[in-house]
Amino acid sequence: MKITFDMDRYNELLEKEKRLSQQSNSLIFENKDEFIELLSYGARVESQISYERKEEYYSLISQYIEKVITPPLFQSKFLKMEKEDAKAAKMITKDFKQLAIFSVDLKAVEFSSLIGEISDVSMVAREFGPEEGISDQKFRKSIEKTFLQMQEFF
Amino acid sequence: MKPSRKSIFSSGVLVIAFLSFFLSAYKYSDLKGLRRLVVAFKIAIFLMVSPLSPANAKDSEFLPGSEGFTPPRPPLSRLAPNNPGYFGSKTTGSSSSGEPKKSPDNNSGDDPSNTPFSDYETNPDLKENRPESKNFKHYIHEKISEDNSDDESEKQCAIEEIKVGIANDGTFINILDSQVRDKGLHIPDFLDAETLDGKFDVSEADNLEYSDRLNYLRDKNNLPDDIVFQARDEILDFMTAVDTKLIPGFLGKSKIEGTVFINLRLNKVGFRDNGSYKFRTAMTMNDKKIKHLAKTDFHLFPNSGKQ
Repeated sequence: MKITFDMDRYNELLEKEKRLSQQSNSLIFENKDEFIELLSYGARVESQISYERKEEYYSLISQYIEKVITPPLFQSKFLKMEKEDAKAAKMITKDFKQLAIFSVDLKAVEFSSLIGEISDVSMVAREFGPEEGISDQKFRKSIEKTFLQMQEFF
Repeated sequence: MKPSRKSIFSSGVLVIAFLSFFLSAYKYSDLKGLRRLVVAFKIAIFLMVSPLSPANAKDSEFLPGSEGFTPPRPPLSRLAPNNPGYFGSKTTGSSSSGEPKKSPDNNSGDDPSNTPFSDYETNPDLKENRPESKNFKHYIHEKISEDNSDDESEKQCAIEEIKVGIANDGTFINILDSQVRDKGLHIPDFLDAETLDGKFDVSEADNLEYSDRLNYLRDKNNLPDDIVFQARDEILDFMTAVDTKLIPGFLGKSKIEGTVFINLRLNKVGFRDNGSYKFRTAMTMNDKKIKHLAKTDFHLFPNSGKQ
């Protein structure tokens, strides 16, 4: 099942944010639900783009699971891929014509939440040391768990 | 003989200036107890007795390592106009998942002295004629090694430069170069490949374990100062941008209280402590992650130390 975007609503939210911004304000402060709704457009586009690269993600995670690559290298490569997806998504959300015809597979949203989990632990591992952040052992456990959940998408 | 009004006035001005320098130095020091008082006193005396050109400061034996130091401007107690009041004017309450940790030298976010500019200076419309780094000032910061030695002479002291930016709500952002250096993996989020080319290869650091990575980033041969300074300035540009939003939030497993800086145009997120207004981290973040951040009460890295 696929979902498309309500462009009128997107426009409305963008205009609202723009108007508030001119008053040194933002939807973040005025209406957090609408702020989250506004961000969900970009987030969904990104989910679809990640989903379309799911084999690449799978392959990279496999390499880590099989200890072909080290944890730091895996984290770096994984986050790089995610950044590429975000960059592509940004270009689409900026282009109303493209966004209007863009559709998102519901499975992509589910898959993307797993990508998000791996991304979160990878960021924690890079941002903090093993004591404040996450130990190698716990990191591996977390990735293995998410990897198992990913199997259903293939 | 009675002192003249002029001499009384001059003395008064000197006393006020001394107190201002002393209080500023005391406030921004990371030291504790008597040592903090002594160092603040020395800095205040130094500022009172020496001319303020960097060349003279360099020759001073009174406060070695203070070359290039410009004295802090005494803060003025004025809030920025149109301040939505989400940071600087009030603190956040604790969240349901545990008590947030205050910064060690916590003055809380409602310190009105953290508003150094007048309305005129904080009005974005009036900033156009000023140079790019209009809101930046340099301070010094005494850094002491955290060894367990009781012998004062064995403790390593160094003077480190602090750059201070003014956020769009008029509050301070104190950036230590060493913090930018330690967060070197995020530098490519702020500097383009052309700038980094031949100077800093982040992929080298990327492949290292945490402690090795820190050592790598702390070596100036691997990460030159000029790259750190440029990254620091870019980070400050983002954090002081007119369209950057300041939201009360938390960092890490200890739930350190502070302010989350979010810029949707740049897709950048940063964090500053509440108590010391110290910059902690900044990075690029996609819409999905910013959305998640908003859903989790603006708690950056809430899962650290939990998995």
